[in-house]
Amino acid sequence: MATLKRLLHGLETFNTYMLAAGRSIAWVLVLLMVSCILVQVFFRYVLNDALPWPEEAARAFMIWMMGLVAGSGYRWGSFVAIDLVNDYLPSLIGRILKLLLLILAMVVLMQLFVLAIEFFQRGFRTRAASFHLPRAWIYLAMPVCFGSMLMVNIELVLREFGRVFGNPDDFPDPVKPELNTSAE
Amino acid sequence: ADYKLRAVANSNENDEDYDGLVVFKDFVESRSNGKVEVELFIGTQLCANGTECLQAVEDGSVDIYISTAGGAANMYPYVQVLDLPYVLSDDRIAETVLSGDFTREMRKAILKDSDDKIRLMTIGNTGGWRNFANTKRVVKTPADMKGLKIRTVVADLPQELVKALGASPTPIPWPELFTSFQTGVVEGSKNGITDIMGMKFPEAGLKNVTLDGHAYMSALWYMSNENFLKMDEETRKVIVDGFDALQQATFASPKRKSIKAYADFKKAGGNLYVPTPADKAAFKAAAQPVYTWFKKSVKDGEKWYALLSSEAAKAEKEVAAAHAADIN
Amino acid sequence: MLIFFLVIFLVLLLLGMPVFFAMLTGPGIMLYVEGMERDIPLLFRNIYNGIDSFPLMAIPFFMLAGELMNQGGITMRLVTFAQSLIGHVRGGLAHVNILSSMLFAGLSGSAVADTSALGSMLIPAMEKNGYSRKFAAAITAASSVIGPIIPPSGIMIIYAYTMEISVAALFAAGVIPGILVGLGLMGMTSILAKKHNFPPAGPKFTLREKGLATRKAILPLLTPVIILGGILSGVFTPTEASAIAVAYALFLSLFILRSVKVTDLPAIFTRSAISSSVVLLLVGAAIAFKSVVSLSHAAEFMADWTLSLSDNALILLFLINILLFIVGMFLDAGPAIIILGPILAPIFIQLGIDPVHFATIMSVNLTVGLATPPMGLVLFVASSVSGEKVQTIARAILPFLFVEIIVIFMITFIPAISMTIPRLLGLA
Ligand code: NA
Ligand code: NA
Repeated sequence: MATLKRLLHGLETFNTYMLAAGRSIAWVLVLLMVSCILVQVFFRYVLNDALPWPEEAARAFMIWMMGLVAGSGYRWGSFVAIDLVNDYLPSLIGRILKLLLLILAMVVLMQLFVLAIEFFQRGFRTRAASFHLPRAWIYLAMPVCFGSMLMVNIELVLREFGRVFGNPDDFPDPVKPELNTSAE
Repeated sequence: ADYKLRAVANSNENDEDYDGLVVFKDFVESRSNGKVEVELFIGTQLCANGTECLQAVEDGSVDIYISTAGGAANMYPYVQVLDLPYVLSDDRIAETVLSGDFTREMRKAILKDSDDKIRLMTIGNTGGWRNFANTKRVVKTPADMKGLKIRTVVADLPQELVKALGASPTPIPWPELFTSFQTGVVEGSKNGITDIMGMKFPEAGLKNVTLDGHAYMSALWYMSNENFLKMDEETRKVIVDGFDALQQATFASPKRKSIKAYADFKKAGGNLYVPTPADKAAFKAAAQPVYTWFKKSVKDGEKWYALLSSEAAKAEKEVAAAHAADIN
Repeated sequence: MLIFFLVIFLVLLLLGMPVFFAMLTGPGIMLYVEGMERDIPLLFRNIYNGIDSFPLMAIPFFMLAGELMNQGGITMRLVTFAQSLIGHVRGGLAHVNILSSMLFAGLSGSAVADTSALGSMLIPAMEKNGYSRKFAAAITAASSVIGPIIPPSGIMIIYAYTMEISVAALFAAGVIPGILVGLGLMGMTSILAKKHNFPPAGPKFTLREKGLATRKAILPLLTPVIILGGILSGVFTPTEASAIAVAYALFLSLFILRSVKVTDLPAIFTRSAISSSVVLLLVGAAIAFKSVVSLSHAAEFMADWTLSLSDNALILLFLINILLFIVGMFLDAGPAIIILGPILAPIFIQLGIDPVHFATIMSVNLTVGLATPPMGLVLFVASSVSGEKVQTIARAILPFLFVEIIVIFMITFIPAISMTIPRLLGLA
């Protein structure tokens, strides 16, 4: 159990930094997305000269934005699920069920990660339609997305494992980062 | 069946592509004595555009797929040679060229660029010819195009063409196009008549069509090379003949369909302008920058332009000889 | 039997697997079992293909615009404005809750945003005013479904994207149904208010107070005018309109109302990035799932089966509404539309129902599903905002659901409700 705790702690720390890094880039990408589209409107409507690239560029930023924060969304429970059955099961059985589902999700993520790497590698043969960049550099967001979700999933599996076979209180949820703002 | 083939066309059951597939399916299934089965997936059920579907053919998830030249431009930029304006003069010339060695040359190039994964089987037609259409005025010469906001897909060649004619290329998603005509976000497009009528664009004000016929709407039919070569030779022959029958069907279908489309267009109050030879020459002259662009910016552009031109010249000669024999 | 993927999917979903994973695991397992490994890459690619879309980009943008508007000040102003209009009647705050949702709906495309923004403010206020917490949470959840019915609407963007119809037409079609849901809920509130003798929110606003409240709310209330006006007058496409909405919200909150500081922006942008990335992944997984629905020919099977029940459009519409309602109980509106839209819409279009009319029926029905147990996203949010259990809120919401079901049937059988505005604008 002590080894597990240490392992989990290491992974938690790693994930915390990894996800924070992703978030700190993602918000800039949102800003870039908005800017691209505003430029598009301005050029077409005001200058009467439509640009071909803003749409595709904004789409690329959106894919990367998603890839960089999907792990955060997964870690903080934004992926909705029906909790109904779990409410009616004894807590240990509920935990075991949760563990099994997490392991299944982990298998899915591993498969997605492998496919995403292939997808990225083959992307060098296609280029973006409106600017000169191999699509691989857009596709790279997918291994990043599923890779980071996989890291989070392993963390969730370890934690649930500890809760099933050890003392649940020893394996608390990680602290959620403050994304609050100074509201009025 | 020994071989189950999955065929995808991103259009709908009213489209020429579907007509071609129906012919292909029937031909192949009957001539192979049930050895081959063809399953049709029409629309965007498995994949939604050229890039997506060609990747699926590479993966082997899709066996047969049809794209326009624009649809394959991201993957194989030189196929846009087929979109070069005013190179193929009419249906008969285009059909002669596409039934010949040009298609075989392009097959070689695509096989090479796809790591032997994608095999071009044949090139047919999907929707006749592209013409300029707009909501504002009757366009008789290139000068009338000046300043019009013309919807194009996001691909280099059509944008270059629109720019060369002094108009402004504007990318708008196809489903938003009706509303965009109505509201004036765009003022024109370059489409075949069947698409124009299929989307009821005249109701949104798209009432002026100039029959400049700037591009033959080529339809490139691909097959997964691996799955093709897996078959025994006898079956491969059936497949090849099936694609030939498909090509003939797609050559014929738009001609039949456009009759009603043009009639409906006139009934809806549309103006059709048929450019005089002089007008057409003016369009061709104005489009010159597109050739320069293609030869310079597209890989092997020079070669493909030369090949298509020489094949077109050859076809013109053949057809002229046929005329000489047939007229008298 | 490939079609068993539907069973695996449902079992995993009910056992508590997140929707995203259940939508991939069910098809994935069956493709392996059936020896169709060549379709596993297709499944993956379609996740990406589903997300890489321009129309879909409106979703993160409208979410961000909503977040910005909600951040300090703006929601408050809308609530005060609503209160100045109807706060003084019996059951005042309950009415204010509904009216605020209708106003907020013009700024936001999501019921979840509506619930969390208005719920965190109004549920405590209603409790203080003497309402039970479960009632306050229930009315918040029930009225929040107006958010995606009155444009802008994330659900309608998804519908238009999957079915390739015009977002503008669908937006226009949602206006009257949204107002109708609001009026219906207010009617039910009046009945309940009389029965339980709910208090008014406060004295009637004086004319001066009313003017002040209006003046403070006028700029935020211009957002829907800019969005819809811009789309319908041809200045921009819906996705562009969503970016304009972000720009306008930024301008308002940074410079005019000064309710947001520049240093707050990274956190706001990050929050909307996270919530939209979850939605995008869900859309991607649903597109992947849909491709396996096609491979298994489940769609044809279902279409044949539907038409074998009856070929009377009105009877089928009745049945389909029941089906959609049940689906909505278990599945989020976005995935439900992506999976069922392409199956159901062609059947009804063939039977003579206008595509925009059917789109409205489906969108409204599945939106109401957001407030039904067990898988009601809005109920989860109302529960976390109020601290009341989901089951408790689910019981308290029943009278309001009843009203919403009646509205669904009105929209279904009176096409004019949804079609009048699109027709007047020439969009349908
Ligand atoms: Na809304
Ligand atoms: Na629900």
